Amino acid sequence: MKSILVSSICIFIFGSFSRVLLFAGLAAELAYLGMRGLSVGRLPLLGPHDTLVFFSASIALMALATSFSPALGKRGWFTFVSGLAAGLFALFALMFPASGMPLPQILDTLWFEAHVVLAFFAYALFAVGALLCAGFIGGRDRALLDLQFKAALAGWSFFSASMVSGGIWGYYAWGTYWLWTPKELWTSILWLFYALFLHLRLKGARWDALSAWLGIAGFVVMLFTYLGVSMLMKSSHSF
Amino acid sequence: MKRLWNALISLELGLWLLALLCAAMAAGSFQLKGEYAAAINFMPLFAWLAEVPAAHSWWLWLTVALLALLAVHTLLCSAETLRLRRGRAGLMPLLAPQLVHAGFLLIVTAHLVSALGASVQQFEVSEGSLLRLPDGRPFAVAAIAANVSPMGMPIGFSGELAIDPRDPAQRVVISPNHPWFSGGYGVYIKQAEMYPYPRALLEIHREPGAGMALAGAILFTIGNVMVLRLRSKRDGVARPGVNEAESEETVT
Repeated sequence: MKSILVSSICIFIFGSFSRVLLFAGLAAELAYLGMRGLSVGRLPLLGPHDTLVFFSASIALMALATSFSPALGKRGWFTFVSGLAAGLFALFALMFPASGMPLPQILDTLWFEAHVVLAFFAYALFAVGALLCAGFIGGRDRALLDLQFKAALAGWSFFSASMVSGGIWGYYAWGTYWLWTPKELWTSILWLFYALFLHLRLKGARWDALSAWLGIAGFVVMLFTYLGVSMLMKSSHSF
Repeated sequence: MKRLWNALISLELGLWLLALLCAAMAAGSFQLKGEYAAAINFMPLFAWLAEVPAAHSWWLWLTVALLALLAVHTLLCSAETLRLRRGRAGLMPLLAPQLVHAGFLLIVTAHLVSALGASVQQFEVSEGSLLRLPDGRPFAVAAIAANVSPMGMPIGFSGELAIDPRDPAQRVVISPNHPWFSGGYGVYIKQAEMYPYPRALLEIHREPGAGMALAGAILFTIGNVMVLRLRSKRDGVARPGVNEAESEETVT
């Protein structure tokens, strides 16, 4: 089964200059996730291996959707760097064993699945936005920043919905919609950071450069929220 | 007075408050460890703040103060926007961001209500244990069950509660994600073991801000969907330029 994931990584890393190949890599990765789901009898969203593969697939999916924007025209670099990012995260997933454990009872609810899926769609949009920001910094094309704003707004909306579903799940699972743990704190930091970012746009074009750098910083905050807290900090709420 | 008002509704103030909140919470995430971290989720937040030395809780004091300022700022910005743009903007463009703000304010208020009145009690119980909700109503633990996989691994557990002493037939089954709610309290089963005898860890929670937080979340989501719809229609046309931005700086 891992050979399907490896082939999707190869397609992402070496073939994503073409949108068709980016789509092929995504299809292979989704096939891998589908087979994982069938083998464990649940959505494969537990543990670093599965979540990194899901994150990688989400980046490819969001990049593919974004690549149809007229603002990107025929620029192949975008699908290439997006595919490269998706490939690198999938490669990272290979460093972790695929968990075959049954779903703990506390996670056996649609609220948990919605919480995780929405969070990764948001993370993927933040990643795509950071790539667009890098493109803006390199070429000063304002259309890229406009597109990045839409990606960040959509990502922030997904992330807000993820926090809402997580709060409802927490209330049924633990008796509270909020726990003071490093993960919750960093989740709030990420949400507040993108709220700041979206409001900064109201300052106008003079702030474009700062806005672009913040779009890249947001990706770093997102990575720390997702991976850093789980790997470096002690929190009851991790992968 | 006018200068103070302008400062309170300025975009700069909102941006600074958001940035400082991020910094305070980031500092807190590294401070939150040890016995104080273990206690924070088992008592009302303000009781925790009153008991814990400032050296460990300064970041939370700062976070609460900044959140309070941000809430006031958000409220004033929304009020000013409604005052200035009423009749000039369409209903949806006028209301959508304000619904997002209102949802945010409700959620912050819900946290405040919970910070004052939330409670949690833990009980280790066995079959036949009699407990009381904090309002005095009794209930009993009728049965504790654990599900084991064919390989012998524990895969789940549940408890059966007799919720009316006058009518022993009135029972509810609780399991993870399926608590029993009654009179503003929730009874949760957190762990169960069958050996050497069936016993379980129950928690009784009171979360007075939960309903308000849900209302805020619904309002926020409606506003957010409306904003997304408006933005997709505008398709980048309305991005403020250098001069346009000045007029938008004070209100959002």
